[in-house]
Amino acid sequence: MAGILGIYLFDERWDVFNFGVYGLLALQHRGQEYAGLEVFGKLKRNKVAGFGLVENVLVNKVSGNVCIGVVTPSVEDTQPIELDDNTSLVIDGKITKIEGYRWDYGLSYNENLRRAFKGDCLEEFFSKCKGGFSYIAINNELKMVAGRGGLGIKPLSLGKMGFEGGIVASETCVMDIIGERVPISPAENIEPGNMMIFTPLSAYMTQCEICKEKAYCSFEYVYLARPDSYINDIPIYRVRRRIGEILAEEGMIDADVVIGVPETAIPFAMAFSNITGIPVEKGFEITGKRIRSALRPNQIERLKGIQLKLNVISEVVRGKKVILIDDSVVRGNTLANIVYLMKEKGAKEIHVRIGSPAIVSHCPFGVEVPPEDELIGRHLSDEKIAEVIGADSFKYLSIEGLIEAIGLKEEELCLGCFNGSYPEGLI
Amino acid sequence: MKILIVGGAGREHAIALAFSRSVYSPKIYCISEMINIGIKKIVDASGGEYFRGNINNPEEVAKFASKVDLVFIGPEEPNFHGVPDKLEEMGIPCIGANKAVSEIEMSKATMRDIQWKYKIPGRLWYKKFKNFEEAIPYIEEYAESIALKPARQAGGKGVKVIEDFQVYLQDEKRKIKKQHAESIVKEYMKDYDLEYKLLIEERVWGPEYTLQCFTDGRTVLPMPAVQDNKHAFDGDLGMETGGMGSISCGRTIKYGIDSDISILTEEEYWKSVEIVRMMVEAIQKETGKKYHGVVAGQMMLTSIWGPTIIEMYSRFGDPEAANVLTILKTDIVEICEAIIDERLNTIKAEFEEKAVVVKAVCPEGYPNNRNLAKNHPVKIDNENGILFASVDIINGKIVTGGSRIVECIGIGNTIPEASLIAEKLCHNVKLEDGWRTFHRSDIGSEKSFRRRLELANLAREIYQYRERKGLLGRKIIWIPGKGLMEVG
Repeated sequence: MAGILGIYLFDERWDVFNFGVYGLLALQHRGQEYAGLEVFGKLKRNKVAGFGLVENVLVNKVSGNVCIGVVTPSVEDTQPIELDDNTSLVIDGKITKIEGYRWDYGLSYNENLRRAFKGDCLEEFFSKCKGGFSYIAINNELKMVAGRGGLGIKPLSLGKMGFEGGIVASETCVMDIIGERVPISPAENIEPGNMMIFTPLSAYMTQCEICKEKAYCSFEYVYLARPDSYINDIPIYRVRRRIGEILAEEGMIDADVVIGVPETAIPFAMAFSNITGIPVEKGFEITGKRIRSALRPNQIERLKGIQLKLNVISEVVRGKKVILIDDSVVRGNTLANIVYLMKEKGAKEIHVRIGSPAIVSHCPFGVEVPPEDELIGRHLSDEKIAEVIGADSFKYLSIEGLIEAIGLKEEELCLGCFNGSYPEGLI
Repeated sequence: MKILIVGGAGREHAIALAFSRSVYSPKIYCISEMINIGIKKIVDASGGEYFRGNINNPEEVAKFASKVDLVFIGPEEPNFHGVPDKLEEMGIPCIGANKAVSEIEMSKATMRDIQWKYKIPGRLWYKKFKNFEEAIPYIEEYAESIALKPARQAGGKGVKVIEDFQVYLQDEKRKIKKQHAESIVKEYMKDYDLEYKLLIEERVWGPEYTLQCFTDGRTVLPMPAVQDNKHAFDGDLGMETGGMGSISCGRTIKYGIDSDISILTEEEYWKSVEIVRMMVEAIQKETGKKYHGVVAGQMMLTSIWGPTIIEMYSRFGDPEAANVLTILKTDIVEICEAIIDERLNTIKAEFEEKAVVVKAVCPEGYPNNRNLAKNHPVKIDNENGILFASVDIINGKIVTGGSRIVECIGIGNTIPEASLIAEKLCHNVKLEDGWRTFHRSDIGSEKSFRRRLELANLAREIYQYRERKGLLGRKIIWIPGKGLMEVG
């Protein structure tokens, strides 16, 4: 996965750099290992990129009125990708097939894209690409093309900046941070298969693929996206609140306090509390910076993240029956750590509820899910997991519950990481 | 009866059509710099004549006007150049704001001065500058979200609206504001010898609408409100244009003829009429001259004032003219005669109960690279419902003039219905050399209308709250160390 961004300001006098930096900052939750920004102006083009957080990487300002940018959660995923000398690409997700091109598995992913591209017209090239991806590409003529793959697995939205230009980004929260304030012109969802094209003279949407079928990534709603974003016109916060309510219906147990694991699970916990009447409390205090621990590349880093992020507030848990809500469980060891810390601080009972179904499968479209033999939910029952993590009970959200919370039809969603079934013909 | 229309754009095509419907079957004459094929057909059919000429030269217009009974001036520049004054001098009846009164459009500074002097509601806070150096410290210290405007109406060009709310992007925005202030003075205003060059106004938000009225200086006769769309591209994206299309239905921009849903309330509509009436009264008082012609408030329903003047027009809006003239039932000749005789109070302007959606089709390059947009041969499959705008006839071929090529008019029972009709017409317009055209497919769509409605409701909620609290148009701030201050 990644967070991608493109900003197109028509007036050449604009310096777009800081818009890019703050836009990527708003997408930082989608990737914290690598950041890149390429800025284009009349007859110039400059790239700033590197490993680390946006604020540490994007420090040397370059000038230009158009830019594309990216944040990724993997040191192997360095972008923008140069499709050729004239063309750069940022992409969230994976292109898995390209019509008329035979994928060479001996070559790197990027090299395959370059060979397939061969200086094609951007619109033509992307209409041949299949898979689960959203992209923003730009060439030296300052033609910027942004779109979503046919099934709409990855999100992409369009925002405006008054009379000055437009913004495309993985999430609508970017528009709140750098764009025009709503309600004047709210961000819009770019529909699957559609392509937004910007040139120095124009901006228009074209439909390059008629998409009867959709497969929106359900993990966006549970974990990936920010709660202030809209994905496919659905407010993330509404889904998260609904998940909390459904968790209460599915996994109600009598307790003294509900605690959400920061940050993603907080709305789940609040909704759980509101519907059950069990008070919600702040269970943890953070030390240092906010880091998305689950996206850290190795176990030590993840635990470091958890232990610093999650110092249990004793007063909240001592002698209490606790319902602890987290957003997802991948390997289970960070959760085990949290449960252990809570018991140490005197929690009487801990009942873990998870705001998503068990993760059982690796994502072919780039969501950072570890190999399947590491996934605790694929191999162990709820009861066993409770034993492993040291909790008194453990329960996932059901897949039906998740679908209900999102509010879309099952056939419009990709639930692959939860049920192993991915859209046909792409892999 | 002979009528001379001055100007050759889409607006003047709409005016010519209105005259061609008159029971007096006037012979229609036209003068403009380019030959508008649509107007030319009307002129020819009526037995009139089409002259190519400089419409901003009073002598030149007067030469042709001496043959006719009535002159109707379409655009603003002939007003600014004193064409109506010259005609009046010669005793030729003319519908067009004279030079003095058209100052409410020409000088945006004068317009605001008058509005404040006469305490006319809907007045935005503003500041005028003689040079850009004067404006720099001001921009650096105070001006946050603002509109930078050339102090003179320059075909709608040169206006820049910058929302400067996010302090972390302040440096970039201030830089652009300063650069643009400089280019307003040095580029957009360089041909005009006016004391004030630059205007800075507070930036406001809300649904925009144009309220066009006939006036004889004594009575202001309002037409249905029309909503224009200024952004070049779909979804309100991209640069400011002269207008990409407009919607109207009933007085208050209703969803449909039988609908209770509308962008404006009746009360807001009449408040707006009163504002325009007060402006006409004020400019006449200031100049001692009579206003005979069309006057329009380009307005916005803002959260601070409710109905608010953004700019004044001393003529019909374009494309807004097409919305109202297309459904005008009253004979335009009778309206014109009443204006000349100053008995407009005896006339009732009647309009068909229809939703009208107008969409402009433009050559790529419009609005900022008009040279690229020029001289492309135009091909139109079916001219029904189409007004020609910026086109010329060169060597017998219709070519683009660099601005909007045509305006397509859809008429229906609801705005979305009319929008679909206009949309179909847009597809009849092609450029033979394959140069790309564009238009706004979203104007008048269900989604676009709903969005405007939401915006109106939100602005209304806030301005009505201010009204209840006695805060309408007031700005009260707390300056730490200095205390409570009221601005304006």
